[in-house]
Amino acid sequence: MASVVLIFRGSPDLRLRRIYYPFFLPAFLLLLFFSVYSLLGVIVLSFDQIDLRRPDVRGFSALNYLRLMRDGRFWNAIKVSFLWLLATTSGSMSIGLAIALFLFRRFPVAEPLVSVFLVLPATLSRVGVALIWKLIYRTFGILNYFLSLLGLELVSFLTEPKLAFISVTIVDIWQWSFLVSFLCLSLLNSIPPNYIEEAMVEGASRWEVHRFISLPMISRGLLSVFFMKLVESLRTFDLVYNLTQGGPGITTETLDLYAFYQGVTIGGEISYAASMSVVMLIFTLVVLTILWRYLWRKKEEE
Amino acid sequence: MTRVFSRRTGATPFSLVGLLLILSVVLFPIFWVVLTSFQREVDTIQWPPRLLFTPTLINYRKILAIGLVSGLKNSLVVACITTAITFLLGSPFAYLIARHSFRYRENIRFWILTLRVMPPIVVIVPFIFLWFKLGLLDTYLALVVTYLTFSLPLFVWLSVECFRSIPEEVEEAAFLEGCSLGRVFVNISIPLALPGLISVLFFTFIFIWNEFFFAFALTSQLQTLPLVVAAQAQSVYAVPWGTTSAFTVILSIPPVVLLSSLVRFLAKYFIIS
Repeated sequence: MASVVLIFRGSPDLRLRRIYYPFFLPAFLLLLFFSVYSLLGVIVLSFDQIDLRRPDVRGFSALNYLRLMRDGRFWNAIKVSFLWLLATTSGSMSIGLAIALFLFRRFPVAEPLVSVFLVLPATLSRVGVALIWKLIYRTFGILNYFLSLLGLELVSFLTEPKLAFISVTIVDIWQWSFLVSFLCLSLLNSIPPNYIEEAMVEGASRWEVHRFISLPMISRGLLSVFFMKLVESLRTFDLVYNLTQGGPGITTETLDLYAFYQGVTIGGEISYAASMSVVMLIFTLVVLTILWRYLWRKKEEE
Repeated sequence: MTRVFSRRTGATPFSLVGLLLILSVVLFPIFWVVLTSFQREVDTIQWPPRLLFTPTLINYRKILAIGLVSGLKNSLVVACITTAITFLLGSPFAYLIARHSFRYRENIRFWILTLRVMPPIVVIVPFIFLWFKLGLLDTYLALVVTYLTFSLPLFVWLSVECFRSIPEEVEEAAFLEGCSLGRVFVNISIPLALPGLISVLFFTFIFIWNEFFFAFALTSQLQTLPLVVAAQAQSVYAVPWGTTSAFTVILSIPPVVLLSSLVRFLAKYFIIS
């Protein structure tokens, strides 16, 4: 009986079946439409001259990009964004990894509970995190109180031009480094225990085990964590807007914020904002492709 | 020699101090905002900051009058509708990717990944343009459809893992009994994958619940909770910290409540395999 069914239905091996369109098409078409629309849309818009304040001006040209080249505020935004990516990614990766290496195999019983606390900041909304830290950072706030106990003067963390960027960066590092440590910890725990135990039989110290065994074994996973943190760091708007709105001046104005101000809230220069989005798009795609290729190559090597 | 890494040895004083330090850095800011939310406005501006005060619920009562109800309603409506549609459209799609081998499957997976990680600023302008032209700015519809383009890739990426964890033999047996793909999917695959799928749905829900950027760009009257909360702290005058903290606490309750089921998926979300 079974074989008759086989003949009529084809192979029962699910992997060999043909694609089943009623399952596939609704989600596929929706995503296809919006991704093609938004990607083509942003490119087309970036060559247009749409300005909500001057509805009569239209015309396709590369003017927006020429304008970008001469726009000092754009270059400032690029600089801030770049520093932001560098600081938050390297900061949360190194702190997170250090915490993970510290916790690894130290609290076998309490680890599940500790994990819950470690992921807590990353699950909160960025708006919430921004407000929590705005409360802590305010002039007559708790952080200044702690500093005054050490004999330091009151500091305006978010309005002092030299400090604002660092203060905002610290908030992002606070939100993500514990998640990174949780991820690193789960990577470390996936190493077969006998690798580590054999090394210790040989008399290796905790540091040597990490240096020569655990870290090389989780390198691919680490790269993937790094990649995801990088991608998360590209979304700066929620946090920075709610902490400083890009200020004081433009010291914390990332490309997100500048494009948003130009195109959406204050400026209304939709096309100009779109050209900044395209810059962001190109950057993201380049990073993504490099990392994806690298991850694949590493996978094939293993 | 197994001293350093033994699974049996208890914690040393050094490691305990380290753990306490880590946990206090995580928890202190959250503790502080919860504390402030129970202070009267006059207590929040004391110097030195007060640890001892008469706790009050006045802030929670106040925020009821200044937008909590409408913010909660909008957030819940948008998040629930989006999550439901994401499940309806996303789970069959994820099932196909998990179980069927077809041409371009890996390309589709990469495409899903790029959609998932695309920074919102890249696509915001065309979306504003589209909803503006259709006259749909500031509607649930615009918000839900926009969120779908982010929640679907997220949901598909994670739920593929859920479907892969079902033993294939069960499904094959049903096929041999003559069940159609649709029936197998609804009656067997979904129920078996349900525990994992529910966690993924929570994840999707929280993702939308927390979202600020698109809601900020696409709505003016129809404010979701993050917008209402953010508006508090953008006050031109001194920020009312009592009510702002109470708002922040309310905003953070869903992620905290669903935390234990999110923990499982964070590793899968961030580590590409």
